[in-house]
Amino acid sequence: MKKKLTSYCSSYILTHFCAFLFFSNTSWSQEIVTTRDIGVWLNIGVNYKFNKHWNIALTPSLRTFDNASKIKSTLVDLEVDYRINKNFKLGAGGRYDYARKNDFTFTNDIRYSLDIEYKTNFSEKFEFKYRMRYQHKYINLFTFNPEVEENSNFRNRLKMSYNFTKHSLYFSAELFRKYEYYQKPKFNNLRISLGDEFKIFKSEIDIAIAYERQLNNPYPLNFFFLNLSYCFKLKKNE
Amino acid sequence: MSKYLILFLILVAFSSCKKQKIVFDSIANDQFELSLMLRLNGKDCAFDSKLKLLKYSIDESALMNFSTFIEFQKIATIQFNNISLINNAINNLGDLELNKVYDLTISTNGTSTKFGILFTDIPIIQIVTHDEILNEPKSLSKMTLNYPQFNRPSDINWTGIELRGATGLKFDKKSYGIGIYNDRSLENPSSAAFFDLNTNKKWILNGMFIDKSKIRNKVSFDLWKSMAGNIEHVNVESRYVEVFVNHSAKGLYVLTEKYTEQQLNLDQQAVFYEGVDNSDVTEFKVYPSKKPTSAEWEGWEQLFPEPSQVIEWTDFENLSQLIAKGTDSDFKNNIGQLIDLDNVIDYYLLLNICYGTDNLGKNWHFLKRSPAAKFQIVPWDLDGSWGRNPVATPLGYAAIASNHFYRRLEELNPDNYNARLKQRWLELRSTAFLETNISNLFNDNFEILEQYKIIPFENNLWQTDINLISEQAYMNNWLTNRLIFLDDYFN
Repeated sequence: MKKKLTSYCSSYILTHFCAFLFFSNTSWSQEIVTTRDIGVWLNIGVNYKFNKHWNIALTPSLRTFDNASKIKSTLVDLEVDYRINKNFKLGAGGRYDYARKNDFTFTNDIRYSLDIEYKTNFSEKFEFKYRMRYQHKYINLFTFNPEVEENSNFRNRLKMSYNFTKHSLYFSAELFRKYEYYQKPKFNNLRISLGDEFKIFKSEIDIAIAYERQLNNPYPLNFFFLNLSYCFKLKKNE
Repeated sequence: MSKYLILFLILVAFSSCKKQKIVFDSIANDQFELSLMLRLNGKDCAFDSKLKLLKYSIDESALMNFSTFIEFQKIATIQFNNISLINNAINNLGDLELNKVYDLTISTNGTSTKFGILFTDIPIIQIVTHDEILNEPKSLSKMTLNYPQFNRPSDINWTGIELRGATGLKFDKKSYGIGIYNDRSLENPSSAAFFDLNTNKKWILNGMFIDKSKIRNKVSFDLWKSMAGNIEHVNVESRYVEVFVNHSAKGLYVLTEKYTEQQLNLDQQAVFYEGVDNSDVTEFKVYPSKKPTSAEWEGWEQLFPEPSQVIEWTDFENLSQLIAKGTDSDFKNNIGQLIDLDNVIDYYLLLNICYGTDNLGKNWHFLKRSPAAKFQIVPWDLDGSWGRNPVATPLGYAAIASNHFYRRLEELNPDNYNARLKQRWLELRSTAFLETNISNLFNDNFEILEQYKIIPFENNLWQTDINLISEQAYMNNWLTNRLIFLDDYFN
C-alpha cells in the first residue's frame, strides 16, 4: 500500500509540475470568478513522539486547484504538541508556504499557529474533539518590503469520530474568522470534511473528502478536494 | 484506497468540476482596486451593477471627435456604439454628447453582456471599501475623485468613511464623513485638497436627501461668505459631485469642507464649541447645573482643543453664564467684551433671511481664536432654510428666528445693538441681501444642477420626486415675500 501510494504521489507531482510549467502564465481576469473547483491536498509527514506529553511532526504538502491541474501551494508544516492530560492538548506550529496568489504569481509565506484542543469520548467508539486555533500569516515575507501583508485567523473546529477495527471514520466542520488590518473581521471560510484515519504498520493514513466554501463574498468559491495524508510514526524508544 | 478515489471521482462528476462566472461587480482587491472594466485616459469609469450603467466624468468640449487611450481586460472585447475598441491604444469614438446613454457590449469567453455608458460633466467620486459603512467607527476605503477636465489627474486617497448625521440616518440615502489617511492602517491621519479648496483632513459628503432643492446649504454658506465685508465670517465651501460606493451609484452629493483646526487655521490658544442639541442650555435660556468635566456639556461639545488632550471650557462657561443668568446690567456691560456683536448681528440676519429654524440651539458653533479675542458664531448645516424646515415641510415667511440670547440683546440693547442691527440690515439690503443677488445665487446653483442632468437619475435611484423647476419657483417666491416681511420688521 505504502509503495503504491508513494508511486502515485511521485507521478502526481510530476504530472502537475509539468502542468504548472505549461499553464502558469495563463491570463487571469478579475471579471472571471471561479465559483466551483476541485483539488487535491497531498501530505506526507513524519511524527516523532518523545513521551506521553510531547510530540513533534514535520509534514511537507502539495495542494492543487483548477480541476486539480495546477499547483496552488507547496508547503512544509512543523508542529509541536503538548498533551496536558487525557482531555486537553496544546499545540504550536510553523509553516513555510510557497503559494500562488490570484494573479498567478507565487509568494513565500510564513505562518505560525497556536492551538488548544479538547477531547472527550462519548462512548467507547464515539470521540468528540474541539480545536481552537489562532494563526498569523506573513505574505511574501522575504521581499523585505517594509509593508509586509499580514493576516490572522481564528479557527474553531468540531470533529466527531467513530472508531472501529483499525479505522476511525470522522466528520469535521471548521469555521474561519479572518482578521486583516484593512478590513473589519469577518467569517471568511467554512470547511467540512468526511474522512477515514487508519493505521498501517508504523504509519497513519488519513483520507478525506472535503468541501470549503468562502463566506461573506458575493461570488463564493465552492472548493471540493481530496485530502490524502500519510504520516510515518516514530517513538523515542524505537 | 481505490474506494476513496472512486468516491472522490463521483463527487467530482456530481459537482461538474470547475465552474466560472463572468462578473462585473466582484469585490475589490487588497489594494482596494475594483476590477477593470473600462478605463479612458487612465481614469476608470464608475459602474452601477444594478443599472448596468457606466459613467465617466468629462467636459463637453473634449467629446468632440473624442480620441482617448482605452484600457480594458485582456480577455475581453468591447463594442462601443458599434465601434470595436482596441485595447491599450488610442481609439477615436467620434463626436459624443453629454448625458446620452451609449451602448457598450463586453464579450468575455464568448459571453456578451450589454451595458450603457454615459458621459457626464459632474465630477465623480468612487469610494471602494471592503466593509459595511457604519455610523462609527470609520471603515477603511479608497476615494478617487475624477474631474471632468480631461487632463486633470484624479485625486486618490486612503480614507476612513462613516455615516454622519442624526435624523438623516433613518433615510435610505446617507451622508458620509470622510477622514484622509496616509495608508491602510487608519492610524496615520493625513490631509488632501479637492477641487480648488484648501487642504483639509476631514471632509463631508452631504447627501441632501431631505432638501428638495439640493442647494439650500450651499447657497446659505455662499451668502454668508458674500456678506462678510470686514467682519470675519468663518464658512465652508462645497462642490457638487456624484458618488459611487463600490459598484453602486449613490447619486448627487456635495463634497463639503469640515471644520477642523486646519481648515479654521487655529493655534493652540483657540477654543471651538458646537451646539449638538436643541435645548434650553444650547439656546442659553438655562445655565447648566453641573460644570463641564468632559468634551460634552449638556448639549454642547468641545471640538477644539482636541478633547483627548485637554478639556477647556472656562471662557465658554463665562459666556454661557453671562447670557443665561447674568444680571441685566452685567449682560449689558459685558456681552460686547466676550463676543463679537458685529458677527452676532450678521449671524442673526443670515438666519432670518433664510429662516434657519434649526440653527439657534444646535448647528451653531462658537469660536475664540485666542484668550484676547472675542467669541464669534460659526454657522453649520443650513439644510432647513429658505422656506422649508429641516424635514422639508414648507414654512411661512412671516416669522422671526430667535432665541433667549437674541431676545436679551434686543431687550437690553447693549452697545447700541438694535441700531446696529437695523443699520446692518439696510447695508446688506443694498449689497448681499439684494433680492436679485440672492435670487442669482439660487438660479446659478439650479443651473449647475440642471446642466448636470442628475436629478432624474437621483429621483430614479432614491424614489424621490424632486422637481427643481417648481422648487426654484417656490424659493424665489418665498424670498420675495420674506424680504418684504423682514424689511417691514427691521424698519
